[in-house]
Amino acid sequence: MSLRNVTAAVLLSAVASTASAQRVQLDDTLSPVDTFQIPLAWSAGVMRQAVAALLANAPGAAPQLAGHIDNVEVRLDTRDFVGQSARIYLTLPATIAGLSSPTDLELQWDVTSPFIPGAVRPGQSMLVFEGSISGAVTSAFFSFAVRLDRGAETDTFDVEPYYELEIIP
Amino acid sequence: MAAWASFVMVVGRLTLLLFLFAVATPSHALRFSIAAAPPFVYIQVGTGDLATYGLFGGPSSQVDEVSFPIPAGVTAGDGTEIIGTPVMPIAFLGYSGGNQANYQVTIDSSSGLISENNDVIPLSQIRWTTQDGDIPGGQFTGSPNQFLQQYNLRGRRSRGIVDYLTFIYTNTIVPQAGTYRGRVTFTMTLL
Repeated sequence: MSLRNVTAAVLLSAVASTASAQRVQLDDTLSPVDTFQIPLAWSAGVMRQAVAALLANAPGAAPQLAGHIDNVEVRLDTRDFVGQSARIYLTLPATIAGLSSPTDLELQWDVTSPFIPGAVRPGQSMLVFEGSISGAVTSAFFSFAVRLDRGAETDTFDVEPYYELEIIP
Repeated sequence: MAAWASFVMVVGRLTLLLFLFAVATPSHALRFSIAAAPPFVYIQVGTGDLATYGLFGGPSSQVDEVSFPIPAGVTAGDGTEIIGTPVMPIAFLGYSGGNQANYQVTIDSSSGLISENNDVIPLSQIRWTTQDGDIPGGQFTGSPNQFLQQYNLRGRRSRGIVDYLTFIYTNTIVPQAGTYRGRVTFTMTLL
């Protein structure tokens, strides 16, 4: 074996070993609705606090804004993984266009079993499912809540979470 | 030297493979369009709900009242101004869903001051000064729609004002004897 071939073999081996632990982004275009409008608002309990902060011309001190959407059906294309044990993660991109400080955002969800409720901030992934993939389509109904710190000066923006699958060896 | 060249070539293929993988990544559909908080205006004339935030005095659910008792030595209609008490805190807040917090404030002083005998002193007998100048000083006109203030500076989502008004009875007319009461209403509109 020439030195050239040895180098190639080592590299390919490395690629193969990491591929088994990699996450694969799942196609969720089977979901019946893809875009949801979520209006943010201050809850009644913090509205006075918001008014006080805005009156003081200190919008950064305004309390957290929140919004939610219920009954979001998510249908994931898992046909390539039927019969395998896997973990599915919900991930938020690290940057969100139109949001000056992404770390102020939190996406929280409740979800039908066997999916797992949780929360993420931009750049984070959170486990939402762990078990055997039983069908070509894996689906669940989510209730999402968006919370935004220091959101008083924020314009409309889009959040696009996505789902990733990882095979359990 | 030969090994180095080979390494470069393999990396080149690896890059190509990864690129193709990226192109083949499934698209995702879920999108949340997050709308900014809806616009609103807030107006407070006198003491009120925000007392717990240190802005104003004691909380009150009633309409605040400013009194102008004529002191000894002052004759009705002699032009000696009488300062009313207490000083009245006033707050205006406009919050916009866009980048322009537009609002307008008007005053209705058309009812006048009315005595127990139904005699009337026009509210134009009362003027006011302000502590900070955030709200302009002025005088009631007796109009149901007197302009007080408008804010329409672009580029700011919210605009808040807190100021303290001192009302002054100008005492330039001679009314019938009696105790006179009237109500002034401030109206704030989001433009």
